[in-house]
Amino acid sequence: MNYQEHLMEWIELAQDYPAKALLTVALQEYQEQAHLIEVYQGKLDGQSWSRDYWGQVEI
Amino acid sequence: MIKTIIFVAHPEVDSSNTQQFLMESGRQLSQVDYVDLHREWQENEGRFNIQAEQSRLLEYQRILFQFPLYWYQAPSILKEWIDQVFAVDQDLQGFTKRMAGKELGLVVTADVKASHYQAGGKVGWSLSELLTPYQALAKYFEMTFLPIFPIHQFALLQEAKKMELMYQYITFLERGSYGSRRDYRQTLLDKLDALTNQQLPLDAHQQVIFEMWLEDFRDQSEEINELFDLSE
Repeated sequence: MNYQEHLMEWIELAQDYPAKALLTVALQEYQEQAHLIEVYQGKLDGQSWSRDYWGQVEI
Repeated sequence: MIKTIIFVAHPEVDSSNTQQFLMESGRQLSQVDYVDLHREWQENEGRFNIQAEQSRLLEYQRILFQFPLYWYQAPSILKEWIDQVFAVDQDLQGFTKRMAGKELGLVVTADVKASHYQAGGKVGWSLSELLTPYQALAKYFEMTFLPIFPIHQFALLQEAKKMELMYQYITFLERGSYGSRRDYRQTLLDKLDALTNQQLPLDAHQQVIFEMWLEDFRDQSEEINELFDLSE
């Protein structure tokens, strides 16, 4: 499910500044997290397939 | 969270947007108390009640000084307070020994860019270097000195950055450290969990979606923590 539209709606609905701020920064962080997961997974894949490890592979 | 007291040293707290913003942020936390040093000093006719100040300090585990930089230092009211309350001949009821083990930290606001506070920058010294007297004070009392929480050019921050600052500051007040994305995320998750229906009035259907999103956010957060640990 894409939550972004809901979050935008909740930000509008929030009744005070701290709640509005919380939802706004949480949305930013939520989006940033999705990107970071891709970056870390890519990094791990890179480590798994690195040429440095090829010599250690037992055939 | 441990009990935290924040001494605000500013000549006009009420008209300072930065201080008002920070105090409104911190007041969301039940374990945080603020003291307006200038107001207290004025109400006591230019003196501090040493015994009362020392007794109050002993009630808290984390002690923070919050101030704008004036000529690379805290406003003079903080020095006045330190000179009176920490006077060597005023070691009431073993005050010095009882301060050991507490935490001392600084929240510092500055009107210039962060890059000025470094070797080669316009100022030429870092905040850590300029504010070494507070580190010495912490050492004298055998307190743990916390990383300085700096805020640069608050007035120029865009609204989204101010909102982020609010929760970075809350993270610092709750944990005594900042800069860790993991801690920041945890602060956000804790606060989202604690949102009340008055703050965010959702109908039953929306509430279910909100809970699903929060669960997804929490799962993502755990995944990223694991991936980070694996990739280190």
